[in-house]
Amino acid sequence: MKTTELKAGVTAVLGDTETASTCVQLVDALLDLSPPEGEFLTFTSIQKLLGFTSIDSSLVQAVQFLTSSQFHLLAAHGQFVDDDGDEYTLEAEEFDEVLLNGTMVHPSTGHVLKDARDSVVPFFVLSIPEELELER
Amino acid sequence: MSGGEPSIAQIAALVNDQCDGNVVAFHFAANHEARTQALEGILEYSYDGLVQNRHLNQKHSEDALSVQVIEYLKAFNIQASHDTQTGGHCDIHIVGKDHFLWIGEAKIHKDYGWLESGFIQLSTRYATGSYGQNRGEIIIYCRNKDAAGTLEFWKERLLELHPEVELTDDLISSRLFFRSKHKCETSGTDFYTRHRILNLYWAGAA
Repeated sequence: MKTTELKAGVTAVLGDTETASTCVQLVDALLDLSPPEGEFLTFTSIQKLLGFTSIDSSLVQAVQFLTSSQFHLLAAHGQFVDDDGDEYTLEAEEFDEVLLNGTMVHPSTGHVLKDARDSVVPFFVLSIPEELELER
Repeated sequence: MSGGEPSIAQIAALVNDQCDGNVVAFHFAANHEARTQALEGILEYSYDGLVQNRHLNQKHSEDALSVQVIEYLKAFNIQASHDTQTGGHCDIHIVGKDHFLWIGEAKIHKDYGWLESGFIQLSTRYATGSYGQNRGEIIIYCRNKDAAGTLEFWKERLLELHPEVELTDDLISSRLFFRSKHKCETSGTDFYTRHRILNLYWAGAA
């Protein structure tokens, strides 16, 4: 698949929507990143990348679509930040547990956290499919 | 917010995730099993909408009901479609990253032979059983009384007629579904089916 086909596919699925437009914008921005820049992307860094004034629903939906759809360019991960500000990157299974059930075990204290969705932030790694043919 | 970054809960609020976090979970899930679990969570909200509004959909066809489910999923930017070709025309067809494919075959209950034909369609024609493509659902729109009793009878009939099918979970009495698995004909791998009945009986229709 070529990048133009990927963008056309995004638009075909999402239609003439703000999310589709943000998605296409984001595809271009992501494909312009150098490999190190794509290793740790947050909603804030994506917001800055697109020049948005805030993290709005179209930005979040565009990131979601480019993470889960057939037109994916991103892989999602989770980082737990505890009350002391200590940060822990979650294993995939731990992140899924937070997403699905909102629970996790504190990596240091062993305490079970029942409202972990409040303390886990998503981050993304640029993950360009091998079959994507980049057009410069 | 941690260090200015939105948390999972805040992201869910931003996209108006009314499905108990399952929309965010669907999009960010690390693997197919978690994505399917999240999808089932979203479907439950969609089904609940059909049940709550059953007085309005008594004359709707299978397709009309299924399209409502699909539109609900599409509102959350899930790649869902109706009547898509996958070895035949599948009622609900959902695709995603990494070869993800989930298929749903819907039937308005009229007799158990009709349900069996739906199961055979799903399991032998539409299912590939390939990586990321080993889960699906029989959706039974039930306009008769006693949906649980109907599903219980369907379970017994299915297991009797198809000894190759194994019951893996039975939540009929509390959640109106059971799960089964069988070897997919084409791949020879296990295919997992959830059999979910929707209680659409409405007294005013009588």
